Amino acid sequence: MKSALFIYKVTDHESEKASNSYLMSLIAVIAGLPFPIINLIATLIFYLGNKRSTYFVRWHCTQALSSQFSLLLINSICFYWTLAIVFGPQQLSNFYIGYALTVILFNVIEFIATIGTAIKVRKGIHVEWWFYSTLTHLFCKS
Amino acid sequence: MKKAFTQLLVLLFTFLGCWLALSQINYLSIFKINETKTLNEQKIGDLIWEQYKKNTQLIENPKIITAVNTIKQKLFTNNHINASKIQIHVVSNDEINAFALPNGHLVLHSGLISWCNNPEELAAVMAHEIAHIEKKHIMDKMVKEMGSSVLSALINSKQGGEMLKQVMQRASSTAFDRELESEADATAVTYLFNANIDPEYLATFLMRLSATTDMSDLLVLLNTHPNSKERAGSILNQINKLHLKNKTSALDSLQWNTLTNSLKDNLSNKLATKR
Repeated sequence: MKSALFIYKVTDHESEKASNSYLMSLIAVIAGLPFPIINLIATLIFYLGNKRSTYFVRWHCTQALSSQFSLLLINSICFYWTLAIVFGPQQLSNFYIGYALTVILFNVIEFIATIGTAIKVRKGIHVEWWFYSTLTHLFCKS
Repeated sequence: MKKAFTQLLVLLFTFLGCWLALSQINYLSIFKINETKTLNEQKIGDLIWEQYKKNTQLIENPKIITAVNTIKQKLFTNNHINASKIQIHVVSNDEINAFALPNGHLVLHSGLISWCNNPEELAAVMAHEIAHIEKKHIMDKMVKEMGSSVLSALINSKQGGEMLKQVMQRASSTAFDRELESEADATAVTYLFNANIDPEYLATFLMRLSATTDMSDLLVLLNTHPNSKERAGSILNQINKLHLKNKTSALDSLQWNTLTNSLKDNLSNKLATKR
């Protein structure tokens, strides 16, 4: 996660909207637990609603959305693995606990990064996440 | 694009590395998960068995017990199963049923033994139930059906009472799911094969079970073991891949006749007592 200069000066209205895209995923995480799809849907709705917005808003909506995709994948595996243990033939194993802890670790990192980014973006500071910003630059054109 | 792909790979390997590293810790041992499970299984199994014993008549005729133990010994010795882990109880009950309870209690109804055409069929049923015990299917089934909270309450309550009766009822009369039944069948075939008993008798027993239309009130085993015909087919497929060289009888004819005659005597005594 690093702060970078944006190509133009961001207005207060833009920074508020862009910051909200990160907050959406946080609220949805709390509301949607333990279903991993909820935060992605919330971020996706926010992204679609701001599709025609300014570049700064679109860029941050895309970064927030792309980060949710990888979380959706690892969280879904954890969710269905848990169901298979509780209701199916799978047994509790060190591999499962190790996976669940890794998923929790990655979620916590993402959660902290999201809060930090939301605060900085609200102040008009452009924040780029490692890997996700590269992906966002590919998909979001000015 | 290349940069994104490289970063994706780094991210993926970081995730896998974390997973692998965190999986090296033996959580099951640290938190004594398996020990707690075993202890709970022992307590629940003994509670259920004590409850079951109160409402049933145990058969203690040495001729019957010796014959059943001979089959048990054959299966256990050839499959390296710890004999102290499993206790086989023969109960006087006309229902054609056999079931396993937690903590290695295997219950055989006298009705089932009488319904078997030969000792190999009895050995096949016993092998199937032993497989459920060895594969730890019983506690899994109970936890799924009743929830771990009910079972914990059962352990902690001194009386158990009505709850214990319900658990007992479910343990003896509900079916395992298809996957567990198939696993128990496949394991039973291996047990029988290792003991030089023809595993085909498990298939013929199941075929006979599915073809029986009368005695529906007594045929509890059919309710707890559905899809018998399909399962017989799967067993025969498995057997086709095996080549059993030295087939032996589960019991010699003298022992089998003694067993069946003793059961008949037991039934006559029971009827005489009723009158």
